[in-house]
Amino acid sequence: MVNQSKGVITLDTLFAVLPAILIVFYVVKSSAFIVQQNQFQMEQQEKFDKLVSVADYLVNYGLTKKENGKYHPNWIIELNQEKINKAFDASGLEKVKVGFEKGTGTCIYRIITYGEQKEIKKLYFCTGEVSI
Amino acid sequence: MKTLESIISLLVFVSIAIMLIPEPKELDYSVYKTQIANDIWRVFELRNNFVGFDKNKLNDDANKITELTSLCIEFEEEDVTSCIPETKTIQIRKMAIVDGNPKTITMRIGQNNQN
Repeated sequence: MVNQSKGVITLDTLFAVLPAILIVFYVVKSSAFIVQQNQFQMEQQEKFDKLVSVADYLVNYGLTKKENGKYHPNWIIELNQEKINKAFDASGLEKVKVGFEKGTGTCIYRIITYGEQKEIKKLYFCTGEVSI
Repeated sequence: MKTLESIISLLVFVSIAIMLIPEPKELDYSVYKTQIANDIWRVFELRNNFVGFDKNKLNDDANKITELTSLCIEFEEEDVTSCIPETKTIQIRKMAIVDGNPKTITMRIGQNNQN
């Protein structure tokens, strides 16, 4: 004699297992999403911090006027491309443009005085990569 | 019955999980903002605006910086303001010589969205 109720129990179990599988799937999926999101954000923050720190170095020492061995932060006489490239090469940032005109990609600016007349200027540091 | 219970559990779990997913945070600009505030102070120093605390020169240079950056610069209690900031971004306190006496000055930097 065939036990008809046995099949019903199996079907019910199957329907109970399905949401459980969906829960596991959703947990894995959302965890992966969160990890990916955090990783992307950390990378962007790291790039931004690098740009900020290299710009800070250039504005305080790298490009500044030096008199009797003393640096004058925020006072730049000329934009020495060699010094700029050296600083950015060391940081690992690529395609960086420094100038008084805003470039492409992620840009920050610093306020400086330029030339012997100490003219107030906005100096841009742009990575040339896609905007953060 | 078990199916119904499982589906309800799934719905509850999904709702909680959606609530727990963190909103993407914005970049941390705090260090950069401090650097900008110090830049502004340094530019005033370099242009000798603190020698005798010349308010006219300070106002002129503050206006020039506002023109360049859209940032409002305000010296608290010293009657120097380039524009009224809608949102206060940062403030720094430093020493300057005012009327021959050392005085701690508070400089506020804010954003004016209209500029």
